[in-house]
Order: sequence, then C-alpha cells, then structure tokens
Amino acid sequence: MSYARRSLRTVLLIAVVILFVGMVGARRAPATSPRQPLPMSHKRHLDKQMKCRACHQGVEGEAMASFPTLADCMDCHKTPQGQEPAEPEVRVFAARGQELSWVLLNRLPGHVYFSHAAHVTLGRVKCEACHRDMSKVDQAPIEADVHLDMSACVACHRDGNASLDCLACHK
Amino acid sequence: MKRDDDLRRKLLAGLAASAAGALAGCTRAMAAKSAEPAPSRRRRKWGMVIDLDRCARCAGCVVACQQENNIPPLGAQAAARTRPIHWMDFLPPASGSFTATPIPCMHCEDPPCVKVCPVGATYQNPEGITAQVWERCIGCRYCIVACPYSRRYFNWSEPRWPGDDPSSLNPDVAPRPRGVVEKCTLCHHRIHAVLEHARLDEELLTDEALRRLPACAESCPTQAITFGDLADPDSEVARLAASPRAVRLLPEAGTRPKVIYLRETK
Amino acid sequence: MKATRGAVVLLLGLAVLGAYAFTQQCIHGDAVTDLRTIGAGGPVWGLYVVGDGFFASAALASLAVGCVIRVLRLREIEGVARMALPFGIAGLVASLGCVLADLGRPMAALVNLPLVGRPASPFFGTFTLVAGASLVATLVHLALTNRPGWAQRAQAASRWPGLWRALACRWQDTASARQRRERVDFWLSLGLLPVLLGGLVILGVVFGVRAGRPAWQGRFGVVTFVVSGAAAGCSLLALAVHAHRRANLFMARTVAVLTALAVLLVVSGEILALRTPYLSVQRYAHALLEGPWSGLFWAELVLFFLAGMIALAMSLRKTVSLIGTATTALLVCTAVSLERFLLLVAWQTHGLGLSWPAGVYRPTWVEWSVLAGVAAAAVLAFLSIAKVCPAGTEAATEAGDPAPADERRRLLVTALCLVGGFVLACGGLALSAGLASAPFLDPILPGSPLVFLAGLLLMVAAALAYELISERPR
Repeated sequence: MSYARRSLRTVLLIAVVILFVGMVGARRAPATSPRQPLPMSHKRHLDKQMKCRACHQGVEGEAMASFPTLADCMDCHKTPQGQEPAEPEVRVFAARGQELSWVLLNRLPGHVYFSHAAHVTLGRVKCEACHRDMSKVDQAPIEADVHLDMSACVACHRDGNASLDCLACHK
Repeated sequence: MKRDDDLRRKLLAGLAASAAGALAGCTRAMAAKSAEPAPSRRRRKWGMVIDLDRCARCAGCVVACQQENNIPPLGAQAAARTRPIHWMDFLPPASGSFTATPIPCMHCEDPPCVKVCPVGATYQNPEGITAQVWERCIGCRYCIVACPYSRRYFNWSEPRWPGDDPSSLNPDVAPRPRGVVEKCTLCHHRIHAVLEHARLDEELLTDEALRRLPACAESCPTQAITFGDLADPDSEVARLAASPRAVRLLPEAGTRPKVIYLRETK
Repeated sequence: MKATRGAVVLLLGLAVLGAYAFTQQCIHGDAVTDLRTIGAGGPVWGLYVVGDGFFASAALASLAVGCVIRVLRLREIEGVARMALPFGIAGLVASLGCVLADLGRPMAALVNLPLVGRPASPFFGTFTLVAGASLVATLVHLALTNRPGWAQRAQAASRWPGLWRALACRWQDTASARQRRERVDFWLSLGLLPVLLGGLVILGVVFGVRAGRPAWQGRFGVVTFVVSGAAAGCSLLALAVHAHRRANLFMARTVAVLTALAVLLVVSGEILALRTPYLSVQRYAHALLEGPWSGLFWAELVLFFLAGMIALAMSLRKTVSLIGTATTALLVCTAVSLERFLLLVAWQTHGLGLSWPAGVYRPTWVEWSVLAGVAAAAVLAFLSIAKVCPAGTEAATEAGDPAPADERRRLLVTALCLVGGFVLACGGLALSAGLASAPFLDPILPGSPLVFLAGLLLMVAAALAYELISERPR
C-alpha cells in the first residue's frame, strides 16, 4: 500500500471522527443559552423556608404554574434582604418600572395537555416528582429540568390510579 | 429533524422495553389490574341530541366548530380539489329523508373505525367519546373507509393559517399536521376544563353547565343541539333521547350512535 | 428468462420516475394525488391500495400454488413451484412499496406498526402475515431450494465461484442430504400454505367488507377478490414457466377455470347488488352498470371473458403458444386490476351509506408514476432473482459417501426453534392483542408485534437449522 493511500485513509478517518464528535456536541449544546433577567437563586429563597407557590402562584389553581411578577418580588425586596451582591438588582428593575421577562424553559409538546392544578391540588403530586430539587440550585436556571416522556407519565398515572385515558393528556 | 429525533427515541425506548423482558411487563400489568379500584361512581356517557324541527339550517355550528377546533380555512387549492375538513358538516339536501342535516361524528357505541385502526390511534374513551390520537396516526385512512357516516378527515397537506399566523389558534386544541386523520372530539377540551374546575372548586357538575358545552351547541341560535350525559336519566339529553321523535342515522349499520336526531315523523 | 438490454433500461427508467414522483409526494404531501375527502367528492383510497391488492394477491396466490405443488409432490410441474418463489418475493415487495406510498406518515408507520400494531386490525394482519412471515419464509425457501444448483454453479461457473459457494452453504449431494431436502420442502410448504391463504383472505376482507355494505355482499367481495387474485397470479406464473411443456398446459387449464369462476362471481355479484333493498348498494351497482364506472366494468368482464376463451382454446388443443400465454396474462392482469379498482374506488364514490354527492377520481401523474415505478422495480427484482437462481438441477453430480451426521444435535436445535418460535409467536400475539390492558390503548409490552414476528421467523429458521446443521464437517 502506498504512502499516499495510507495518508488519505488517515485523513478520512480523522474527518469522520471530527464529524461524529461535532454532531454529538451540536446535539448536546443548547443553541443559545437563555438568560434570565435576574441572577436569582432558588436555594437562597428555599433556605428561608419559602414555599414554591409563594412565587409560582398559579401552581395550585391553574394549568400554568406562572412566574412571579415584579410586584410579587417587591413584596419582600422593597427593603434589602441579605448580603448578596446581586440582590439590589431587582430594585433597579422596580426603579425603571420594567417588568421581569422570565424565560420559560420547560415546554411541553404541542399536543399535550398538562395542568399543574390537577397534579398538585387534586393529585397531591410533589413538585420534585417532575422537577429537580430546587433547594440545591444556586443559579438562575438556564435549561429545562423536566425531561419526561410518555412512558414516565403513564407509569406515574398507573401508580397513582390516575386516568389512563389518552384524552386525559392528549389534546 | 425534531420529529426524526422523537421517532428514533421512541423506537429505542420501545426496543429497550422489549429487551427488558416480557416478564417485567406482564407482572407490572397484572399488578396494575389488581390495584384498579372498583368504579365508585356511575360512568358518564356523553351524547348529543340534535332537534331537526328546531334547526334553522343556519350552519352557525359548522363555523363555530371550525373556529373552536383550529380547522384551517379551506384554501383555494383545497376547494378546487374538494378536500375540505368539517368536523361538523351538513348532509346535502337529497332524495333521502334527512335533508340538510347537521352531522358531527356519531360517537357510536360500537364504532367501526376503532376496530380497523392498525396502531390504536383511535379508540373509544371510557366516557364514550370516539377519540383520535393523531400523534400516533400513520395516515393509512382505513378508519375513513370504515366509517359509515364519512365523519373522518385526512390532512392532505400542511395546514395553512390566514397570513401564516398561528397565534390566533385556540391553545386548548392542538393543530394537526399533514398526513394524519382527524375528527370531532365532542369538544373534549371544554369537557375537560369544566370537570377540572368543578373538582378544584369542589362543586357538583350540573346538567345546566353541560347542555350547551360544545362549540356547536353553544353557537346554535335555536338551541337545537343539546349535549350531556346520556347515562344520567335526569339529564336533558337523556330525556330528549327518550322522546318518541328520536331517530338515529343508518340504524342498519349496527353502530348505535350517541348522536340522536329529533324529528316529527311525517 | 432473458431480458433484452433495452427492456432493462426501460424498467430502470420507470423505477427512477417512480422514485422521483414519490419524492414529490413526500415534499408536497398527499395533495399531489387525486385522492379527496370522502363524501365531498372523492375516494380516500386509490391507485396505491389497488396496486397493493393486486401485487399482494397475485404473489400470495402464486406462492400458494407453488406450495400445493410441492406438498402434493407433482414432479412434472415442479418448474411452476420453482418459479413461484422469485415471483412471490417480487410481488410481496411491490405490495409493500404500494402500502408505504399510500400512508400519510410512512416513517411513523415504520416505528408505530412494530411497536403498537394491533392484530385485531386487518391492516396489521396483512402487514405481519404478508410482509413479514411470507416474505422471509419465502426467502428461506428460495435459499434452501437453490442450494444444490448453487453448489453445481460453484464448480462450473467461471465468474464468482466464491459467491456461489457461499450461497450453497456446504451442500453435499448425498442421499441423506437429498432426503432432508425433500422433507423440509414438504413441511415448509405445508406450514406456509395456511399463512399464505390467510393473508389472501385478510386482504380480501380489507377490500371487500366495507362499512354500510351488507355482510353477504362483503363476503361475496372477499371470494371474488381471492379467486381473481389467484387468476392473476396463475396467469403470470404461466408466462414465467412457459418453457416447461407439461407445466404450461397445467397452468393454461388452471387459468381457464379461474377466469370462468371470476366472471361468474362478478356477474352474480352485480345482479345481487341490483336486487338488494339497500339504497347505497343499488347506487353502487347502477354506477357500475350504466353510470360513470360502466366503461371499466364492461371492460373488466370482456377482458376476463377473452382471457378465459384463449386459455380454454389452448388447453383444449393441448398446444400452448407463448403469444397466447402472454396475451392471457396481460388480459387477466388488466381485468383483475379493474376488479380491484371497482371493488375499492367505485364504492367510495358511489356507494356511501348517506346521501353524499357522488365523487370522481382521476389519478394524477404522481400516482401513475409511483405505481409504474413499483411495478418496474418488482419486474427487475424478479429478473435478478431468477438470474441468480439456477434453472434446474436435474443432473446429479456424484453421490458422495454419507457424512456422519450429528442427528441428535440437529433434531434438538430444530425442535427448539419450532417450540421457541411457537411460544414467542403466541406470546407476542397475546400481548399485542392487549389482553388484560382494557383501560389503556397500548399493548402490554411495546414491541410485542415484533415478538410475534420474531416467533414466526424462528419457526421458519427451524427449516434452516434442520438442513444446515449436520453438514458441518467434523
């Protein structure tokens, strides 16, 4: 075998490896990492014995759990809370009168109907059943933390004697 | 690309599940069966009564249904090719005894379409709705051929919205992509919402709250369409269905429709 | 069978055209066909499903004829059984192509059918029985039948001796090997026969039994479908085995009988339909007799009649000409395609239960091209399989000394394959039927249709094990 042919083969091999790594990497990396308006830490809020529903107010009565509005934040943060250097930022928003534009990270497929109220209030499902333990998250979330497929939903519905009717979730 | 990924993931998940062994599946299914509680409450059976003597043939129900269920408006191309989608349609005036009749899915008690689906994309839900899970549909159209009432529709092309703006869609109903079959759901999303609110507010669901629930019934100016629980003998819909004027379409097909027509026999 | 280069180029061109048309359908959706909303002007099933019905029934029928010949050990017309194998494979592949072209979401189908397919649906029945079991079993059958021939070719042929040797799988022309060969031939054919006939009847049910159609008429449609499918398969087989004198006379007689039966069934079905009290059936019958489909209906009858007459004349005079056989095949196939078309499409345009307006159907170039492409690909597949398979192996080479066979291991593995396959197939069928999972739509075990198929394949593999194992040199 000639040298030229051998080197060609090596080059091809390297190209294939690079292509493979690139494809895998491209799938892993988020296209653009979304930025939340504030560097808020779930951990610090939960350390103060706050409940999830204090900020995500729709969770018990509506389909969407909802994000806190600036007014909700200012209920506590009107006066400085703690020594966190980023903490005063929320009052900058308030001074400008600019509403907080939280980035929604957990999105369901278009054909799925999901109600937080039905799960949390009627089904007594804990938040941690689907979401990660937020008391350990010190950063503002930048990626989705719910990765459910249908078999996970169905398994839980079976265990909890919830409806297994397709129309209960498919719309 | 996204859909391809989904398909691949599903296939892999399925293969993994098969590999995990038939035994695990069997035991789990048996456990689930034994754990199922006895139905404490009587099962509902949704149905509809259409009073042809009240109906003014205004076709308001057809338009309301299109709006409510994100059915794309009939474009010029589809019109030329006669490929409309009307979950609620009008049977054209003809020599038959049923002239200009509003005709939704009959939600048969013994639906022929369900029997023929090769992948279980269509089924009868526990409350009697013949439903279509379009996400699973493979578009073979066997159900359309099997339906004696021709009440199922195929998406011949990708749905197009006026000005290509999907923001005006009803968020409670998922728009269907090209290549799948769709049909009337008795406005299941509305039933779903009413039931959930009743449970959250710990109220009993009254028949009054249900009578005009589907979009077609709500829009009907002469209140010719009544919806409700056929299994509840006190409901308006069950009372009307027991009327001597009640008739069903194509009784010889043996499908036992849960959409019942009222008509004075001549 | 020799094909001229021009014919091959033409077939390849047609196949490419079909592929191009199919890409157009993939890009623009089914809107490029002339299929329409049922009740609002057209049929939802058209040429593709007609093509599926034609190819699959012709293939299954000819395979069944081949199996009957093998089971009855009709040595004189063995050539028919030999030709039936490549013919059946090509036809089955073509029918699969037609079904995939018809589906709205073929990719979803390839995932969902193996995962959550329902045996209760005739569509699933045709898919597993027709596509899976028959196709693979026939491939195994083909490979085993041709081993002696390939072994000969490995010694004689100058080109690719390695390929022929690999295909022959150490065939040794010993008395015990031949005995085993015959035994496997018999049992495999006997086992396949119910599968093939079952597939044919299920296809007939898909075509014949229509909603709103009274049951007796649906059953009539099934019988007509099966008989005419057999006529199409036999007429094409007759063309393929024309070189064998005894075989072609047998085939001419068979075709004559089958076409006569088909004419009888079609005519009596029409008369019965005209006399029923059902409005929809009467509308359908009149559409055939004097309505928009009357041209096709009368053409079908005339073609069947002509083909039957030619076949009858040939079998009475006991001389079968190539032109006569080819004409018969052409006439019968056209008539059977028309029969499928009228059974399926005319029903959707003129036989609906409610008083919807009548529909029309004029297939577009895309549909014609895809169908032609599938047919061309099937002919090419048939030609290439027939080329790879040796024509005959009458001349025995040398009867070598019987090799010491490991009887016990062979029988054990075969029995294990059979029993294991049977258990898997039954289990898969029961699981995918959704036993004990009433409230939920899914099979208990996702992928259980695959288990069912794997069981069937394992049972077929028993034949492979029985023939191949003992011949390993020790």
